[in-house]
Order: sequence, then C-alpha cells, then structure tokens
Amino acid sequence: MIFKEYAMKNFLLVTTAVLFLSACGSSVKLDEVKVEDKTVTTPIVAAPETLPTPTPAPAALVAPVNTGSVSVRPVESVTADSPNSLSALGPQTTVPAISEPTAVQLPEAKVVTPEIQDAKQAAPEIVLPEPSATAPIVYFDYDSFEVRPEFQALIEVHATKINANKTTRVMIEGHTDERGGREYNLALGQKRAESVRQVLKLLGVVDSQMEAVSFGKEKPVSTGTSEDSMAKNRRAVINYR
Amino acid sequence: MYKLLSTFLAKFSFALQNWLFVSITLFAISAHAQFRVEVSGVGLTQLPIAVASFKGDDVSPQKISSIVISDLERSGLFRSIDVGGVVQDELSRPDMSSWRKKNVDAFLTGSISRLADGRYDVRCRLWDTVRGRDLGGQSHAVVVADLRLAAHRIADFVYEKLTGERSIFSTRIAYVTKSGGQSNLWVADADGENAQSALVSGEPIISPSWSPNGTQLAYVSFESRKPVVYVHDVATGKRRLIANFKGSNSAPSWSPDGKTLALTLSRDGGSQIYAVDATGGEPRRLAQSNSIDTEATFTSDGKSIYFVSDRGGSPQIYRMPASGGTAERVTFTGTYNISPRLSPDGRWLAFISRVNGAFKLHVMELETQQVTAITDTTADENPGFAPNSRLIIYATVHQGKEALMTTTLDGSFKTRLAGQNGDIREPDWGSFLK
Repeated sequence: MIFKEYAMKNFLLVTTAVLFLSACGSSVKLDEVKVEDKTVTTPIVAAPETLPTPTPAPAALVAPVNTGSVSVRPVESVTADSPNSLSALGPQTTVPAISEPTAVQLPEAKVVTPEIQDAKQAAPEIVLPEPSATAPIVYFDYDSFEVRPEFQALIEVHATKINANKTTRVMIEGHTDERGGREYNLALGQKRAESVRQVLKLLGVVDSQMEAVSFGKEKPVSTGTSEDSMAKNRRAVINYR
Repeated sequence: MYKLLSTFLAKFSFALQNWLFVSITLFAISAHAQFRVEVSGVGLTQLPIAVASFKGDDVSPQKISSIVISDLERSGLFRSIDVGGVVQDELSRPDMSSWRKKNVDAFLTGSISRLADGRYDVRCRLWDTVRGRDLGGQSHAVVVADLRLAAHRIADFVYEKLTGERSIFSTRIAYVTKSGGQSNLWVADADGENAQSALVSGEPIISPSWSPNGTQLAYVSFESRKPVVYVHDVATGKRRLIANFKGSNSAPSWSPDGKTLALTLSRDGGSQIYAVDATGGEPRRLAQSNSIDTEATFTSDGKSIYFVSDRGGSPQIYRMPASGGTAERVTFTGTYNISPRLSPDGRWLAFISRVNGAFKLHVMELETQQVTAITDTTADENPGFAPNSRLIIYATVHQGKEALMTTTLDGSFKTRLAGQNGDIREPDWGSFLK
C-alpha cells in the first residue's frame, strides 16, 4: 500500500536525519558531564501593595490589577492555586453595571426558517421583536445595520425627547448576536449605533448630545441559540446617561 | 542540516494529508485535564522519543518528565513512547540496544534534587539511541515556583537539539476568562498552566495583544461603559489609556518594532484603521472607506498591514502598505473572511472563514495562495501563531464548552489547553522572551 511505503520511507528518512543531527552534536565522554548551567525564573506575581524589590532576575512579573470605577488599584495577589479568585480578592469596588435595556414584555418572534444563510443568499425570514412603546431599542436583521421602517416612529419619540432638553445626553449602544468574530461584531454593532444616530440627526438632534458606541457581542440580553433568542441581541439601545 | 529536517517535515506533513485515513481519538493524558485530539496516521511522521521518569520526580512538587512529555507531544513533532515507569537519572548511560528495539530514536533522562538553600536542582541528559551518543544536557537551579519553567526549558532543549528549530515551550500566552459577570485577563505559560491574573473587571475585556518585547499587553476594556484601549505593563500593573476617543476604540495590534499600534477607531464615523504611537498621541488615519475597516495586523517585516474590510460588500481580508495606501484583496473564497494573523516567518496567513454558517479556522500558504480548513469545530475565533510559526492557538467551542486549542499548521495534531475556570477565549501568543 502506498501509505505503508510512505510511512517506511519517512521513518527511514527521519532516522537518517536524526543520525545526521547527532553526528553534528557534540560527543562527550561519559564522566565529563557537559551541561549548560542556566538560571531560570518564572515571571512572578508582584506583591499587591508594595512594589517588588529590584532583583537581578529577569523582571517578567505579573502584577494583578482590579478595575475600580475609573482608577486602578492593585489587589491581593491571586495565585494559580486559588482558582476561586473571588474570595481571594481584596476590597472590591463594584463597577456600576451598564444599564440593561428596560425589561419589557416582548412578543415572541416567530421563526419561519431557522436556517443560517450566508450574507449573499436570501435573508432568513425571521420576524424581529416589535418596536416597544417604551423601550428605546431598535432591532436589526442578521448581518444588517439598516434601520427598518417599523422602528422609525420609536426613534422619533426619542428625538423629540432629546431635542426638548439641551442638557440631555444619550449613548447609542450597538450590539450583535453571538455569531462571528468579536472585533468584526464590534464594528457591526458600531454601524447599528451609527444608523440610529443618523436617523436622530435627521430629526434634528445635534452631535454634542449623542455618542454612538458598540458592545459587539459582549453584552447579550438573551443567551439562547434559537433564532428568536439571537434576534433579541441584534439591537441598538438609546441610553440616557 | 537542521533546516533540512524541518522543511522536510513541513512538506511531508502536507503531502501526507492526501493519504491520511482520518479518525479522531481522544486521550486523557494528565491530571491537569489537558487532552489531545490526534488524527491517527500522522504518528508515523513524528520522532519517537522516550522520556524516563526523572529520579526524584515522585517526590517533586512538579513532575518534570510529565511536563516535558506534554510539551513535546503538543508540538505534533514527537511521539512519546511509554517507558513503563522507568526511572533514570542523567549520570548513567542507558542500554541503547533495548531502546532501539522499542523503536525509540531519542531518550531523555534526568533528576531533581533538593539543594542546601531549599532550591531544586533539575538536571537532564539527552541520548541518541540510534547512534548511541550523548547529545548533552542541562541543569537548572530553581525555586519551587520555577519548577514548571525548568521543565519547559528542558523541553526546549530537546526540541531544539532534535529539530534544529527554535522552541516555544517557555513562552507565554495571554487569554481572557469570563465567569458570572466578571472578566479576567490572564498571563500563562504556553501550555495554559501557571496562569496569573493581570486584570480583573466587572465588564468585558477583549483583544489582548502582546508587545513584541513581551512586557506589555494592549487590550480593549469596557470598564468605562464603552470600548477603550489600554497598554498595560504586565510586571508593574501600570497602564496607559492609549485610545479613548469618541465612539468605539478597539483592535490594538503592535508593529514589529514595538513603536506603533494599529487601532480601529470610530471617532470620524464608521470603524476605520489608524496608527498611534505606543506612547500615546494623535492617531494617523491609515485607510479611508465608507465601510467597516478593522482587525489590522502587521507583517513581521513591518512593511505591510493585513486587515478586514467589507468595502466589497461583505468582510474580506486586504493588504496595504503599513503607512497606508492602496489596498489589495487577499481572500476570494466565501463571503465572510475575518481575523487575519500572519506567521512570524512570513509564510502563512491564518484567518476565520464563515462556511455554511460555521466559523472555521483556515490557513493560506501565501506563496501559493492555497487555502485549507484545518478544524472540525464550528465556532473558531481569534487565531494566533506561536513565535516559531509551527503552531496556531485559537479559541473555539469544543464539546459544548469554550476552549483554547493549539494545532499544527496542517491541522493534523491538536491539543486543548488547560486554563482557568469560566468561559475561556481571546488568546494571544507572546514572542520569544529576549
């Protein structure tokens, strides 16, 4: 069989190659131990509150950092032996959670064809969650950042609200479902946020009152894998900050 | 000579693909829950090596021989032969003929002993059993915390002696885990073990990127409720906010000289690619389009940037000069190609391609433009090359759980890495430590 021949040939060739290599290696008399003496140090975790004392060792340290609200403060060192690092951490400041979209009763989206299609083929017939009267959420089709007509009225409501008060600032936050790469989805979420921003702009909202950012796929509201569930994540949220 | 063997092995692995009868077997090989996924048949292209239990392994806090075996096997170039519990130190000459009878080409012996000052003395010697030659050895005097590193150095020594190529076992990786609402940025050994936390946050962390000198990590943090880019000195924990412009800031990527970062910024509308000095400052726009441009990555000669753009209607990979300029399209198969990463030797491009809804790691040989899909999984993300260009690390979902995997470039040999608890993702492989 060809496979066996190849295998045998290769085995012989590898053996020959190893022989060549070993011929190039140094031959040492048994009682003269030729060893390379090396000092190695693992990159270590720096002590939490005090800076590590300078040593001649290669300074490949890892100092743990806990994000406070904005400022950064080292915490007690967490070693690999304590995987439940939550208990080992020092006083933990809670980062204010990003306000999730207002919990509303969304009508169940009917899934017509759950097949996942490539972008160029016909878009799957998935019914998006309907625009809510209260929640400032615009939903999007898969791979799309186009604001569908049924969401126009909702955006108008918020344009009016923002225009009514010059001190109001909104963050338009774009999101994607979990499919695909994180950075590309960050960019896609950005497109969604900017699409909504553009609609607001056409309705008279000034740039200084709004900022479009993206969370990509990092902040899903729904963790299921059904098309219905994923449709809830493809959204842009108008967040009053 | 050395080059001969390595290029031979590389070419042969690819050729062998055409004749492989593929079956996948799972082995649990150590208590660290690291297992390998091996495509059978490829074993015949691997160098058979036997590693004795080191004298003193049984009472050592780290079993040196096990770590060495795991390292060598993970490279895909070695097949470890079961020694049946044989213990042998570096002082005695092995019985060459009995090892040859077991079809073993190389034999590693060694010992671990305690020094008067409390440190451990780890020694090894490598034997060519075919020619009956002593290939030399090493000794490392280390504190207990550095025992794993000593084992990795020994594995490097064996790898380099027998392949003539630079070895990666004592390099480091970074990765992110998410558990409950908490994200953690870890710095670990190349085998995923020995992880130390560099950052803890209640908001997501993505896209860690090692600086070429291995001292800093750039990453995207959402801690201020929008994506911003930090450059973080791993040893001191000090970090600089390098990009906090209006809109989203993301996708940091270092130039090979460590002086510049390519970034994706939406400050001028849309995601576009900019360059900024690693010390901070005003960004320079590198490309102009009305579409999404992102995921810039430098070639290792620093002269070009590969990036993702959907200027053609859907995301594809392009190449432009590092200072910006006309972009040339690089990927032509499929409608969704993202996450380009180049091998340090300049020969390969790894990327993720969506095929029938599945996100799959592909490798392109740049000279021939031949593209190969190399995984069976369907949610692959974030590929990166080992600094010797011989392995790819990537994130995926394996048996329902997020996992980090390494694979040989032809996909023939894969290993799942050990890692911290929680959903694990976003790996980046550091360079050789200088």
